[in-house]
Amino acid sequence: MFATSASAQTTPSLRFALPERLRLLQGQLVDLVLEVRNAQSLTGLKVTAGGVDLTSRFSPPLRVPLDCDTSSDWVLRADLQSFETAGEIVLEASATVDGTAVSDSRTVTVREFNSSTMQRRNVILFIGDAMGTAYRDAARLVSRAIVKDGKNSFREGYFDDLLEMDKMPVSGMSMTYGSDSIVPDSANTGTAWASGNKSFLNAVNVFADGTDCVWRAAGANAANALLVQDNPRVENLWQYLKRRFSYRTGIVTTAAVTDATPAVQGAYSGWRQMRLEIARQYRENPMLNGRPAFDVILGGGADPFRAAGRTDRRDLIGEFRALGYEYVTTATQLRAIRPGQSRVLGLFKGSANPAPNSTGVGTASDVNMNVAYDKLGLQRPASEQAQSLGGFTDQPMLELMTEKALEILGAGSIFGSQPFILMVEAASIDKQSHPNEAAGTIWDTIEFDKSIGVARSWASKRSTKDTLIVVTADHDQSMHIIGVSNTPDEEYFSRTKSERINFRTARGEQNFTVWGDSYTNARAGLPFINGSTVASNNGGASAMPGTFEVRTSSTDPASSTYSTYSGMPAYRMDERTGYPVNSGPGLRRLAIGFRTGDHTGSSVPVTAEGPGAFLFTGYMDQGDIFFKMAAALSNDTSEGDKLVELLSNPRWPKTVGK
Amino acid sequence: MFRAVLLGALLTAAPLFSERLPGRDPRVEKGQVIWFLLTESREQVAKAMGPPSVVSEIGQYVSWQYMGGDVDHHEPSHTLIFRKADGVLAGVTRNYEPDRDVDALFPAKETSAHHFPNAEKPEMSLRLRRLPGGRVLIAIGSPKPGTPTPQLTLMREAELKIFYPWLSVPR
Repeated sequence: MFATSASAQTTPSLRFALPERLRLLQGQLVDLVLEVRNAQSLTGLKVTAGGVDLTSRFSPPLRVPLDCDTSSDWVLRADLQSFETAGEIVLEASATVDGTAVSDSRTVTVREFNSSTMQRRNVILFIGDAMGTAYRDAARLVSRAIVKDGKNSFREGYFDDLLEMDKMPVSGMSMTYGSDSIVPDSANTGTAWASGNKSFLNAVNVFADGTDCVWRAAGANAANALLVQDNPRVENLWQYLKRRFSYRTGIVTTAAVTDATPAVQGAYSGWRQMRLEIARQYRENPMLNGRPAFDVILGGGADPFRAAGRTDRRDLIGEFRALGYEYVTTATQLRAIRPGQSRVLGLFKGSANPAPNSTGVGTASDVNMNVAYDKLGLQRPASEQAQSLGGFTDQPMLELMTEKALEILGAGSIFGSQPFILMVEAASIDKQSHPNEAAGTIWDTIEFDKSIGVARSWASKRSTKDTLIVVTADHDQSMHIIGVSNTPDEEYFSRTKSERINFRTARGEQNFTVWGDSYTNARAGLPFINGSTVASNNGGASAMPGTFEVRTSSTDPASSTYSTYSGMPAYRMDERTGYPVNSGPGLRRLAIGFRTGDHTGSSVPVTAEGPGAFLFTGYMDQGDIFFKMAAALSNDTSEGDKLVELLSNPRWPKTVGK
Repeated sequence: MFRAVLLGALLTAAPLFSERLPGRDPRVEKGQVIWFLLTESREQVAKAMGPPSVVSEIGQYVSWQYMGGDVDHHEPSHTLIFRKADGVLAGVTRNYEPDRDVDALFPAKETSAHHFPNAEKPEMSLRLRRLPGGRVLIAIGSPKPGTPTPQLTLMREAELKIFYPWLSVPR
């Protein structure tokens, strides 16, 4: 039952609103926030860091209700502080509260970022959203099993040519746990690689604090937005490098550019859906004294940048243009950007009538770009929703966006050649996995790999090997490779052939529809684990059947076309687009299943190439990626780089297709 | 003493409750809103809704979140908050995607509109209806009929000072 914690409610206390294992780079900004609970009066505050007195940096105590209770609480802030000395630094605070001495401490690990050995290198971080190992495998098994002139490029278990990301020499695994759950989301996983620290679900580069209970219980809205935005912030690598070393910065995504994964490179918020605030911070970033966060922004989601989409009616697109950004909205315009243009805002999809949403903190629609499968004009399988490009028929593919971002960032600016840091995200690997849409998911992963190829090619042509490329995922999703399917096109695309399956167990009822293209998913998809109210899945966890009776009927689509242990996939390549097609004679499709429609807590692969790549080997925590990227930029890595080069020596075993 | 009184109240309410477990969405019968009474225990909620997807402590409350398939994965379909100290169900929030027409729950005579920060330049508006048993029903972003809501909240009126301190509820 609920514990009555009377003493906890009345005992004065003081605490840093910081995690136990706060990790920072030298000079990385962080808000130091002290919370004082159950106190009428506060005197004698003293805050030190490694013995240095920081007390005067703190604001006067502000009375703030914490924990949604009725006690008297206070908050003191020292915003945007940093530690210039590397090492373990003990942060201590003490005070007298209502006559009682209270104190708290944290040991902060400050890692060296040595500007004297700064390498002026570029970093390109590729994030396949939800791209666990099965997603990489699926992209390979579809795009590298191509039949041409009667010969499959995937034969006897070997590929003639592996994925671009497979060819990168260094691999590791990243553990993606959040500070409050083993299954994370894109916001707190992004916070880990962008800022080096773990946080809670939905958090964008901030730590939890005592006012979160208000909006986490009642929902974020305009009336409690200040409490969503008051969490202690920790600076991300994009702002850190721009602020301290004049790096140029960019984000490229197929999502709305204010979605969580791009947001962690340029914003700070307790709640990832504060889209209006996130867009504002791109324009006037709090770590950069109000300067824009990025030189290049390419993706979807124009609404929160338009005056009509915002409660404050600011025209952020106009403001960016006034600052010298070229604004483009189509692939044609993106291609036509003239050489020498150093700042670009490209928003390739939005609403016809943008408007704020009714909570006042977001927009009515978060318009992501269409996925690769639909941009290519391929026909959707029967179980997947047919998509429309709407009026946005000239959206760029991710590889074009990547190519142009590199061209713009790599050219430097009017101030000369400057290094850059760029994040490229394939967002809909995840977004298509949520509704279990396999084709949409797999083709997006292929598009992602092509954009990695663009970057690898760009980096390899540079006279100095000065670009580190890292490919990873924020978290995994529940797709599995389960075999191959001989389902003929007439079954695969038929929206008239389906079977409705309903059965009742002692623990509940299961209802779902089986389509010709996803017969195998009936078993792979059972049981879903959620408490959905939708008719297709209203049993919830307690309704899991122990066994599933296989039934056949005259309406049972494609009943014998799926095989686990027999056969190889075989696809045809569309020479015009360079992508595999999903229909035609002789086709044998990959069969996949989704265990749920949601994220999982599995570790995800990390792959790296370029100077400092060797740092990304082995199992690592997701936050380590931040420190490894920083280490590669601020250290001579030549010894390790030579070791990696040795791997290409023919005296060592070579993977077929690499 | 307090616990004994609370237990007694719950036992008294149990037979009535067992006849009508709360649904996932409110409905109207004979002009009355049929949904949570906010006297339900955790066990009764679990029986009606199944185990929650996420349980977390937030300040002086424990939140139970349910992830219904009809809501974007970033947000729970339902969030229930129980007071840590006494286990009382303080409120239920139902998120809708897309927004839901809830006009039937808000008859004009019993409903008031509220605007933040003010009616002249509102950043957010809502409708509020006082229900029997010290409860209030709130439709976020829906100040008048014909405006669907993304979020419906049923809350003990006493909790408004914590979660909606800016609201001035008419008596």
